[in-house]
Amino acid sequence: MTTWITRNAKPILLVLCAAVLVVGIFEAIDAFGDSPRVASDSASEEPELSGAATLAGLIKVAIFLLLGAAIARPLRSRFRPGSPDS
Amino acid sequence: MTAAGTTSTRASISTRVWIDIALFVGYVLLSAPQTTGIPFHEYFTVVFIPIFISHIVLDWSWIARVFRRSDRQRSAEVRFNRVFDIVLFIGMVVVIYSGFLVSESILPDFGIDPEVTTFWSTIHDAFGNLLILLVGVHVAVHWPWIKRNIKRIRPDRRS
Repeated sequence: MTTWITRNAKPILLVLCAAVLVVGIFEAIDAFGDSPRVASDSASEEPELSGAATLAGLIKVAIFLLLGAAIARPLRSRFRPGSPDS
Repeated sequence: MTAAGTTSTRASISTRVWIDIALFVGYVLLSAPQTTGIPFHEYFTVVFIPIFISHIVLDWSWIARVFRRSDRQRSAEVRFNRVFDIVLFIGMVVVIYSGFLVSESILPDFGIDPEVTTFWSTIHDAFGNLLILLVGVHVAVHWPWIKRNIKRIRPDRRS
């Protein structure tokens, strides 16, 4: 594990630096906006889901993923078949 | 994500495929907090982060090749992947980071009470939903690679 991290130190550091940069940009945007605080009790107001209703979360994910795949279809048809880039 | 262009990472195809499968399954579970519950949603993110970083690092030679390729050599697919993967990375980072800022379970468990603002709450919800769509596109675009390599690592049942 340590060997793998050492061997891939450069890409890992680049990924972490890129992540910090992204976070920094969004923190700067937030600092300009001065957005209000969410009421502390509103977070716990979400109703507890039970039974079949809990499946709604997975169904939503499945629908969104399939929608994304459907969007990719016309894109893929524009790419060369058997391209090493995929 | 070519099979031939990954020797610099020294990762076997099998490792990459299993990491990709773990990443996808983990992502689906993380994207459905209504189903898994908020504590799982937040604690599992800590497990998900190293898997996400591994996914990028294991495919690093492919990423480097796509980003180094000169303008003339750029195919439509390379051009698309360059932009799309950056957008996907930004989206993932923002969703994970904003998730910690609106934490209801993991940070309070460690005695930290984050000041949840509407900015980060809205960002987490909006980017979270958008990201599911983008992950769908990402998986579909790389589907030939996934299919080809799942076949390669599957044990031969005839022997």
